[in-house]
Amino acid sequence: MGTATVNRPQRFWRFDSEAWRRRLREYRLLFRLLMKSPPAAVGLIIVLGYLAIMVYDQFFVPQNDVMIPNFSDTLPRAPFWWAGGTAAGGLFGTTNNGIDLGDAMLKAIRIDLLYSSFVVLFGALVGCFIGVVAGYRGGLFDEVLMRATDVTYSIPFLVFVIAAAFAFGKRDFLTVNVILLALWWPTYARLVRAQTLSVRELKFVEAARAAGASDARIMLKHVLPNTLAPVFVQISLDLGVVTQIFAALNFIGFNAGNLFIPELGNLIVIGDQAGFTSYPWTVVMPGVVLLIFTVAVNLFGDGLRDVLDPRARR
Amino acid sequence: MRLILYVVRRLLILVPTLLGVTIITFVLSHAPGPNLAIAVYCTPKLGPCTIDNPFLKPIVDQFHLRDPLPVQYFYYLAGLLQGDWGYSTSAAGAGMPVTQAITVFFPQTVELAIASTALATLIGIPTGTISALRKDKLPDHFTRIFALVGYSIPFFWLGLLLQIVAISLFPEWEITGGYSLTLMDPHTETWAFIFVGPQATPVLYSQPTRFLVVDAAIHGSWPVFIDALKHLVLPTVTLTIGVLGVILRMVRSGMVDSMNQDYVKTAWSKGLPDWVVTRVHIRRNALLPAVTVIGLLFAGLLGGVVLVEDVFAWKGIGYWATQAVLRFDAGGVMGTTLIFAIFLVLINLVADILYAYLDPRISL
Repeated sequence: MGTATVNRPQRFWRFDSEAWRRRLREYRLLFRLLMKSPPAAVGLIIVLGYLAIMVYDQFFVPQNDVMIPNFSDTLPRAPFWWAGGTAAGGLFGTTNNGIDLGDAMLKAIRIDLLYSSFVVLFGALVGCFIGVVAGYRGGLFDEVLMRATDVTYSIPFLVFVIAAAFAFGKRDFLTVNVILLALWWPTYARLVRAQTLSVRELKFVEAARAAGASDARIMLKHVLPNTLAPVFVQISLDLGVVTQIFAALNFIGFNAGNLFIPELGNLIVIGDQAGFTSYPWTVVMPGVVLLIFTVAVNLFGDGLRDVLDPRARR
Repeated sequence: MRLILYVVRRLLILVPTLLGVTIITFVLSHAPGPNLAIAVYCTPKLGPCTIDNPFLKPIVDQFHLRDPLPVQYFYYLAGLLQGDWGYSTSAAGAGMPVTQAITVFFPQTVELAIASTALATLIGIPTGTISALRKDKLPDHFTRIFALVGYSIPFFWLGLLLQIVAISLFPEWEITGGYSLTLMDPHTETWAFIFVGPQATPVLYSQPTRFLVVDAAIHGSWPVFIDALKHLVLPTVTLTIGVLGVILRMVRSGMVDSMNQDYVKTAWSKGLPDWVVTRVHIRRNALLPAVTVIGLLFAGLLGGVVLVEDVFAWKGIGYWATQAVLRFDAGGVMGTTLIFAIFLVLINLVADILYAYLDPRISL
């Protein structure tokens, strides 16, 4: 009885403190490697700064989901450092309807980051599970899944979202969110499936199977953790992409019924309508905030890829 | 022979993909319900707008609204194959057939895509080469920063920014806004079809290619040619900057990879001149994987086209797609999605076949 119980695999949901300590050590090493590359470190610091703004805004800013117009002072004012700017413009200037750009962008960062991380993390979660099952089990499920991802890949993403919004018959922020949540998993499913195909042939998977582990246990505990490296890279790169998609969708008019939603794309539209040749800062400012974030995310993602995949190191 | 078999197999894989796309477009354009078709024809005089209304029987029969959805799908598919893609209400004032609207809008998008891909390739390959040869030197750093910013920048914002710059720095160039020398075709609401003839009288010419630049050159209508070219500049530059980032990275990393190979060292030690080694030995191999990325590139490009067309009011498929959604035009949404998908699938097919043809090592 004694030896048999020792050799029996643990239940996969049991907390294994030794394994976690080992994993933590690995992460610390990764972090140190990451910090050795200056661009990645800069990217990480900027992304953390944006996240800090998001958290601050979430908990300490009142009315963080609306921009506050000032209808007694509707013409845009330049920031004080802009040519022809006055002190009344403040650090970031104001945009149409007397909205203070500093305040609006602060709130916009929260909304853009919060919702795009929802989309990316949910997509990664769903995609990982679908991908690992498809790759490990194979068969009909795998075939259907691959054809389905082929189909989603053959329609440009933005066009797909536009068409889906048409099907819902709504163009508001919530609908766009739901559509993105539903459509963001195929990339991750493909990524994890491709990794699973190689990992499942490795010796330790065979050993686990020989020890009598169930398929679910092998998939979740042995295969999935070993496919996650490219997923982390993809998550970090996708954060920038989804933020841009939110802004782009707002730009082409997918915020129906909520003109005062603080969102970077919406701010750019408002600036555009104010007349961007007369008041260029109303367009430039929100765009720069968006650009800095996506550049930082890409820097960090590239650095992460270099660390996690030494073969891709150049 | 094996290549032909590969092409046939690749074409067969296309069938389920395209069927999937038609299922999606069917679901998307029928999701608002059968009432959509009825709502277009129904007036309060006819009574309630439901399937059971006897006055609406012709509509119900025509669109097979009483049949279950799967049966409707087969009618829809048969219609697609026979060239009946429905009608678009947003393309022109009086509902134009979707197939006709595609011939109006699609060339504009292709013109933009070809122009920016060509420009990006022309700039990207030499610059990427220099960047790889001077790895970790100043030119390399500049190129990498440019590539990074290029693929991080939001297309629509870049378009607006370029307009600000063009208007404030070079107002006399008049490269923003609509075409100034061609007249608008009142029927299609597009700017591409009437050329200025001799004595500046507008004359309707044939449009063999439907690309304004090319057609104007064919007819020798040079003022129109210059005008069209001027208006092509900003959208093309916007798209190019975005696409260039991808190309630069790909060329650079491919070249750095092949520079470390043994055959390159052999080539150097044989005493071959620099340009022979870089062009014949390194770059040829580095550009091979580039072919596969063309498909991905076009996917990104077509996504970006929607935004760029919106910013510059460029009357292409992307512009039509946004207009179709904003004006609740089922035919337009269906048509744009389907034509985008077909275009992208074919581009990917060509890229795959080209790759298999160019690289004899690939197992077919």
